[in-house]
Amino acid sequence: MLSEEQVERAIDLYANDVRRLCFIYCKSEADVDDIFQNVFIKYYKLDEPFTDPTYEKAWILRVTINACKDLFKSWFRKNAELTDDFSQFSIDPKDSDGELILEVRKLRKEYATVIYLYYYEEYSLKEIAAICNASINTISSRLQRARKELKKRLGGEILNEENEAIR
Amino acid sequence: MKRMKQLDKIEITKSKKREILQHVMKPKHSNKMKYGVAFAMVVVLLVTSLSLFSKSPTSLVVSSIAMEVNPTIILNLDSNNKVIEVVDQSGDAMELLQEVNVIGEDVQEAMSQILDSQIYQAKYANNYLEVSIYSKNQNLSSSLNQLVDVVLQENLDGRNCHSQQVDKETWEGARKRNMGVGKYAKISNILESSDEYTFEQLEHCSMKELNEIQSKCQKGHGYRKGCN
Repeated sequence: MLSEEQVERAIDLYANDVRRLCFIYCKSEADVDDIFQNVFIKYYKLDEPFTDPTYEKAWILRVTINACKDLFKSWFRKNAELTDDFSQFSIDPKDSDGELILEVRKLRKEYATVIYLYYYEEYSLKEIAAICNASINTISSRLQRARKELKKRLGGEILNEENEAIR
Repeated sequence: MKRMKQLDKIEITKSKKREILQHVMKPKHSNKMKYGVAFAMVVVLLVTSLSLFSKSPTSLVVSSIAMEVNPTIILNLDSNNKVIEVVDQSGDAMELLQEVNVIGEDVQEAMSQILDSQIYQAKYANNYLEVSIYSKNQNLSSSLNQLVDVVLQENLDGRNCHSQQVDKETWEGARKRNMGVGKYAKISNILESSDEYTFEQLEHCSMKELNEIQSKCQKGHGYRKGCN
């Protein structure tokens, strides 16, 4: 297990990343609290601290995605109509960036995750494949389908379909 | 260029961070209780794994989806809608199934991968796709139907395709006759609405011909003879 100082440092460094990913994935503040605990308890239980901060952040994001998935596996989450209580973040829908974020949140979770990791966190397809535990082909086709879906909903070229090979 | 910059506004306060730390580091239960719970969990896990391993993979199937585009591919799903088995029912989807491996994928991802594959795009993209959903659990069948419709809308814009839920009788009847579920269901519908035909007359008809026969039956026209 890691020390309290090490956990405190990790919370300090990565809590914002966890929260942003939760914002894309979840609708409820209570869910986010559960996910925070889940993620950082797993971190606390690590045998050794990470030596490379890049791997550390990727690990945190992977555990967050898995915690979100686990949450949505429950019968209640699948069937309940939850209201969105993240309104306090005041994303401005008039701004094209804000409009994009709000539409990304409505996508299927696999698509939203890939869009978030690719465009916000600026990971490469290879890195996203490692974080999501999927093949590069799967991630690439999720990205393409997510872009297509966003294009349909937002009516126009919102995301540049830049050459993914350069990343 | 970095996008979705408004997410930068989402930040955690120091007090919230302290609260998270307290939750993570809160005093643990006594060792005695911890070992008791761990022992109980091991027993439950052992019993569960034994009962799982004693069953064949097919006994874990709770629902099935048949994608008929000539060939017919059946995706058998577990209770989490993940593909646990792929059946090449017509025996001519081998090439396509070598290109994509959808075992372990959730149903939407699996269907999307199949529809996106190079072989599908090259050979079958212009064919009519009939998707049949079967589960003993009616609620599950309905929710799967909704998921399938989303995939068909996203990948094919909902064109040149159709989805339907089928009952046990139809699903098993089609399998007994080694026939596509959609086709079997269509023939059953025609036979129910008209006594002019026999199964044998209709089984060699194409889906297009069956659609024509069905629409003529519904209009009350006589339309004799089957197809060769």
